[in-house]
Amino acid sequence: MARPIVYDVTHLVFRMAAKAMTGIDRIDLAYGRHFATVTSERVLGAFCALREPHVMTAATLDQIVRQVQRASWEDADIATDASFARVRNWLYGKHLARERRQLVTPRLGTRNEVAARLWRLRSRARRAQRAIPRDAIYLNIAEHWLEYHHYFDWIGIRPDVQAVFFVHDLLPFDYPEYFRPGYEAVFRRRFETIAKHGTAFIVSTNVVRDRLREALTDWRKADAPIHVAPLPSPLNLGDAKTAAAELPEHPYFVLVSTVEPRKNHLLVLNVWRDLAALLGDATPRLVLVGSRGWENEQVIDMLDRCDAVTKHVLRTSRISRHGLTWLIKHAQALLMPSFDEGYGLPLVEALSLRTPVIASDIPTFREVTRGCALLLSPIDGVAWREAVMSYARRAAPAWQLAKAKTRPFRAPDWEGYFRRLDAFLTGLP
Amino acid sequence: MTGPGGREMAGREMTVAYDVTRLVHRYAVPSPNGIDRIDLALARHFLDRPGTANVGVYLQAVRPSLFETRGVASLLSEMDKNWRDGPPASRTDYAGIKARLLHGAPGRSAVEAARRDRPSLKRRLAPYRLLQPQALGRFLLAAVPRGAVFVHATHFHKPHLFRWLAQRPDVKPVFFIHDLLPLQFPEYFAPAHIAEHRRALGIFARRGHAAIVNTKVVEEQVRDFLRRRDRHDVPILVRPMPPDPIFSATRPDPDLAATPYFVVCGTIEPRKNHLMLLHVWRELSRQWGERTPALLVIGRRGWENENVVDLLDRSHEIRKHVVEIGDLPTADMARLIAGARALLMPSFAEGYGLPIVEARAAGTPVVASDIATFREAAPGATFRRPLDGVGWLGAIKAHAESVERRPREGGSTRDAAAYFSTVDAFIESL
Repeated sequence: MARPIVYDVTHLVFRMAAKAMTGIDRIDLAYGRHFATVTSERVLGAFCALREPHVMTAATLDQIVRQVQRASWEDADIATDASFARVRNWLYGKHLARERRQLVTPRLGTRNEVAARLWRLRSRARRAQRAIPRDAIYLNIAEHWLEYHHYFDWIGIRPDVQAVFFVHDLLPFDYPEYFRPGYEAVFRRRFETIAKHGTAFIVSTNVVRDRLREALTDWRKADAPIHVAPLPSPLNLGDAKTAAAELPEHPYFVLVSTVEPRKNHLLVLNVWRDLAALLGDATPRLVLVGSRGWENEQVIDMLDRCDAVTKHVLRTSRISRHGLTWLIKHAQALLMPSFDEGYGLPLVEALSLRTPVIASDIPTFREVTRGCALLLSPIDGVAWREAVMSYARRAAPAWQLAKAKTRPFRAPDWEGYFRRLDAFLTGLP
Repeated sequence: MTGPGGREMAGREMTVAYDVTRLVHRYAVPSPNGIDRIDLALARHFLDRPGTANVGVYLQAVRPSLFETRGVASLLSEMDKNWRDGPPASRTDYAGIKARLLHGAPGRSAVEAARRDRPSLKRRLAPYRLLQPQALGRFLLAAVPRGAVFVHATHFHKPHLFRWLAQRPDVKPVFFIHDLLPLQFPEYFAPAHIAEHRRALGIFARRGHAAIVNTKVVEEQVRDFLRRRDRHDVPILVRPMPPDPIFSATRPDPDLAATPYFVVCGTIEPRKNHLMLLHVWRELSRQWGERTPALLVIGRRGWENENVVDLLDRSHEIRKHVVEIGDLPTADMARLIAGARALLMPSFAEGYGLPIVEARAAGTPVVASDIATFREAAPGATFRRPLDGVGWLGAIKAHAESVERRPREGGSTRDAAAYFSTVDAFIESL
């Protein structure tokens, strides 16, 4: 008999009023959507609470997912997406005044704001009407609140429950320098929850699986089942409405990442300053998609004050799914110079749209791109500059070759992804 | 024509009024930065010689004050000695650095040392002890001598301090211009700093009679700047200032002869490109593991340096091989530079590049950014583009594997004498 699945919605409820969606938010939403549509008695939602989680029916889960989608900008129409319109005008050479190029943060809308707050209250105040069913599988995708151990202590007294955690990466252990001061300790607490309570794990690359096994050895859990499945692109839901396909006046590149130091935006901006000195007005454009993260002072300085950069580079965030798809699809290439990553969703998104990719030569990216991208050392600015220059025109043979290189890429799809996931969950002891 | 007071008669020699304001303010800092070094060298040249008619000027509102020359001379030599030898506690710091290089023993962190060396109020006020009652009158009342050349080498940005020059057309102001970087690379400075630099250059454009610069690159930029301000008549002396003779006189520490290490000198701020160097070191430590040479980062923490500080403070891989040294007495710095496999200077832009000139004087190989200033200041160095992490990695590996000494170039006392006599001649010619 199949076990009941209890999907943790805490993160979704809390991100309902978020200004922009991160990669993890998108993945969590994709999971939520999947479990909400499987209208089956065996799927339930759970919201973390002090003694044990509040359990909710699949119908409530569905309502929450719908509200998240309504509140998010993800599905905004490409024609009304203000962020996208701004980028597009810029690319088509409609010169905007400098002030207007500053980002105007769209508001969430009072109705959605109120709904989000109500959901938070409802989820928190809801009495535990029923317990987590026997032999259930508890599924935690977004690593929400893991640093607060008391929310998860209930798993310790329910040995019948299988707790399955999605582990996105263990980078805060390996690169504390790229996170906020003190985050390493928080992450250690988060990992303690995972390692103590988790009985099975989901990861998206073999690199993370190996690192996780290593970390679990200290907890004598090195043999725990780990499901490795490359994540499909959340953009790729089969309903992409893309607008006019005529190419913009300026060729452009795109970099999709939160502005934080691990993502190595600085390398790309230095490259662009060099290019601007070399090519002048013929410099290709660069669109950065991502909200401001942390420890990014120097990147922001460059974006704000470096003349060469402000002329040729535009940062945006909160762009709709369709807008982002359009941007990636028509870019000369997607850049991703990160120092290290657990996965690399933008690469998958770009390659499945057949957009060439220039990315760091790190094990994760080697695994994700499967030979379909140009990989360069994240410290080799000169090579990056050469690559950008040779990819800057569509007529260039280098670009044609890069485009051809993307063709063999087989993008993972959601249907297959969840089929395999369900098989994994069913197969748990 | 001779005898006491004969100097003025005999000397068709020009009187120099040297601006010591910044030096007085900087008296108590534990170690100097590049501008302090140049300022002090010039000040000592003009003021620290017996029987001179030159005066030390202290800028303040309404009118400048004059420091008694004898007092200021002893103040300057005291500063020179302080910066050269450091406070007594710096002995243990040097021992700590050595232990770190030899055995990997953790030393005192730069941040702790900086906290310890924060100057007391008493120490900061010490220069004003020159203002003894008999000197105070002169300080407050005496005017800058007639026809003097006023030399200002520190980019002050407050116009009211220079307003007195309007009433004194006989005084010829000469400005030492270090660079125009905040205007060219605003991304590397705090907005307030950019505005200050612009004001300082505005004062120069308005009042300047002549300029002294270190490199042709800066000369070109200054000319360009003056042209835009409709000043075409300003003579500019271009001469690279030689480093302190201590650099050519110092020998490497024999205890460290077998320990390969590299040095990067300069305030930790983004233009100096420490970030690239640290990334290169992380890569190097992955490739070479335990035999990775150490990198000494000499310099105080400056501005807009969050990412560099994150790497220095928190990266496991980098902390193993990189030693941050905040303040370091000049003598120790000279010794460490002399023994380094190479001095590294990956800056995106500079006006001069004192550390590479110092390294050349010490006979230490230099790996520097491929920028015009450095090509001018250090011909014969190894040049790599500041973006070219892989190129730097290669150059660093090559230097780590071979001990190379270069002939010492520049920086002898003779070079210093030649430099200052050129400056004197330039000032005379005004």
